[in-house]
Amino acid sequence: MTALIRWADDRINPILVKEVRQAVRSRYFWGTYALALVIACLAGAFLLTVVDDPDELGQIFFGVVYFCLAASVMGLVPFQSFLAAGGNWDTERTQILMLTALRPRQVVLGRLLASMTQIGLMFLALLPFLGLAFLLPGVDLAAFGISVVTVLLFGTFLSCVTIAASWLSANRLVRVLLMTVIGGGLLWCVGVAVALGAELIDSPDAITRDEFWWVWSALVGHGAAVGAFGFAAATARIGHPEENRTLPLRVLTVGVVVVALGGLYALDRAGHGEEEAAIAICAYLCLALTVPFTGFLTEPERMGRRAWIDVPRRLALFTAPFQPGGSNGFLLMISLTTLMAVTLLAAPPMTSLSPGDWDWYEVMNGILTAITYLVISVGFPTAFFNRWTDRTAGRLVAVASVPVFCLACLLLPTMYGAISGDWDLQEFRHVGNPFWTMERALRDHDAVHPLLMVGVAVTILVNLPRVFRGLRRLGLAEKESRDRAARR
Amino acid sequence: MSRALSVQELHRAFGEVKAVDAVSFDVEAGQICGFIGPNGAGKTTTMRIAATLDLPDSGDVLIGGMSVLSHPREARRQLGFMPDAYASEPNMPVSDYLDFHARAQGLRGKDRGKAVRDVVEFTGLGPLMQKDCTSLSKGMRQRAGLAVTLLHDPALLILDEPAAGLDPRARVELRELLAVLANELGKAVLISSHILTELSEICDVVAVIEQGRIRATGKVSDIQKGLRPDPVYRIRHLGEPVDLERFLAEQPDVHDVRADGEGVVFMVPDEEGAARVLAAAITGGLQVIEFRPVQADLEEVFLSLTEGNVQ
Repeated sequence: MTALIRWADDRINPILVKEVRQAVRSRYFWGTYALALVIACLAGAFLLTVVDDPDELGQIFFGVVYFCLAASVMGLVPFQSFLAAGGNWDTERTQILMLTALRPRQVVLGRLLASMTQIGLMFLALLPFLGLAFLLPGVDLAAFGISVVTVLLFGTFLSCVTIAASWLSANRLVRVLLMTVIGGGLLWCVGVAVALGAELIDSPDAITRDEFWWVWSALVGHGAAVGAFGFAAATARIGHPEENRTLPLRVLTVGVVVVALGGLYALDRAGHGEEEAAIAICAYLCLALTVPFTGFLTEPERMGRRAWIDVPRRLALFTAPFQPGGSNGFLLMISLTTLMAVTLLAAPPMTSLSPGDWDWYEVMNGILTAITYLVISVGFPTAFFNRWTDRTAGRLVAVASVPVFCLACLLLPTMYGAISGDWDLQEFRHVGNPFWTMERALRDHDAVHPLLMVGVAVTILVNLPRVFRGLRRLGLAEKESRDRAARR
Repeated sequence: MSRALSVQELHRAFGEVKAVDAVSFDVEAGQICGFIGPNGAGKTTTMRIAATLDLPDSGDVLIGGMSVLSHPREARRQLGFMPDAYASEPNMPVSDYLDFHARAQGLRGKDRGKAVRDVVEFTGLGPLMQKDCTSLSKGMRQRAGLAVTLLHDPALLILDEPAAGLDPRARVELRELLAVLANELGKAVLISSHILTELSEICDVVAVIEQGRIRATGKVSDIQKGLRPDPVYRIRHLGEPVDLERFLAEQPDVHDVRADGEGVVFMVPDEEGAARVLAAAITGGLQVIEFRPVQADLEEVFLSLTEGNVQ
């Protein structure tokens, strides 16, 4: 037994050990813990004396305890994770951690496990009150279980996101801004969770409907995806720049696309295929992909060396889209969006539709329009700033250029319309407005707007220098690798 | 001696500023190398690249033959890096702090316990093991930092301004620890400091850097030899220094005569020449009370090599 404990002790994540040891000595943790218990106790005693209708007692008491649970698990624990991980920048602790034998994913996982432990402890502390709430009349077991599980899951997802956010920047001003945004965001999440929980407890029959499970799965799926991206982003942030640190993020992005396309196909096979759904999913996917691609396309371009060390030489060039660097990010975006377009064109998800059918073109036009907007809105503006992305300020400008460009595309024609008296332009009826273009593709069976096709061509053109620069870097890396081997 | 650290043609620019420009130098095992230069000279950037915390634009750093670019993990195993202000964890006693870092270095079971005991004994942290990290004095915190740096028994130590902010006693103690590490345990140490007198007493070699470029590397005496080809001697007598200066100016082979407050310093090509000067001074009736070669002075070397420019 002792040997087993020693074996486990050696293998347990060191960050988890440290964080738990620190947490049990910190006033913050015990303060939060005690506060949640006191609120639950006081609320329980108060409600038992005040509420007249015994049928409502369970629901009201559950609401109060559920608020305590949601506020601590989805609010305080993720916020504390943000503070704990972010505080490391001040004292160079992050750098010291980077130099240990711990892999970046172990560091992030340790932090996440510590948050999960705190979530578990909070849950255990409130479990007797939750049990009491369940024993009181008016609380459905299934609704109770789903509400609690959802809060615990989202506490974990949000912790992933706040850990990732805490490692975004070492700059104090940025961190203060982040703290404000995260604090507000967590409060909003707690509010939403409490409202949904109360709604579910109030009308437990909702669980029996298919729609509920679709919505719940989508909610949890999105939370898991955002959490996974947060985890991968945090890992990437503290990884060594030479260790292809954005690989997990790139793989995850590809995974999301493949799962989305697969899901679309499965929906169709199951007989739920509708062209509007296909377009909505693809448009949403393109919108969601804007965030990771903005990150990939603005990465400092200095990569390639590891490609020639870790990958067989003949294959190294093909791994370019998965290597860090803005040019490689552009290659990944082009290859993924092409994959999306080709897959949908070659095997349309709406199998009930034939190529001769107008609806089929409608679907394709909608999807291609969404893809086109993605390529232009991220690829075009970042191409002009990629020379300066090796500096933090340059990278921030490059990242900011994406929303600025999108807004400019939307507003400038409108402003021109206001000056020239063109009513259509004033009413946002122009190609800079993706919603108007999508609507035309759907309703009026319009093909992809010619201006958008020109936009894609121009985007590829203005990105060619960065792609050539990236390829040249790969070449240099190969030479460097060969020189180093010769020196040895 | 084997080469523990080899910095090869390192370049690193931040925009237009060349922070590190073709920097090359080596540190052998068992050697203490002082890395000196004014603020903004490129010391910390070079050290951070060597510690795998930053990337060069070109060039490489080999640690025990392992490139920090192509094999950062292997290189990290052989190095211990101590930043100028070492991290201290709140709500954590020193014992847990060391245990955590030993775990993070992948040490398991008895090895972990032994590693912690060894570094505690070496750094003298024993009586402080139950104290909270944040309650330690600056000197003790640096000791704890050094203990953490030594846990995985690295062959190379990179110490960025370790003596900054320490009181004189703590400085002497740190110096003694470093001497033991290099001389008895055979570790290579790259240490940067502004306190040149500190470095001159413990460093075997120095690398002087300014505006991102290495101005000189090697033993202080060798560098000084390069700066002034002839040895320098100081002479002092019971009389006016002016008489001494006049006397020395008349001697053959003697040059660069000047009073320095304590006596008069001058250069002669060799020891025979110095002996002749001493004999002539005594024969000439000067009451000589001191005659000795002036050792290489790091401060003088530093001031001769650098121009005080910052970028």
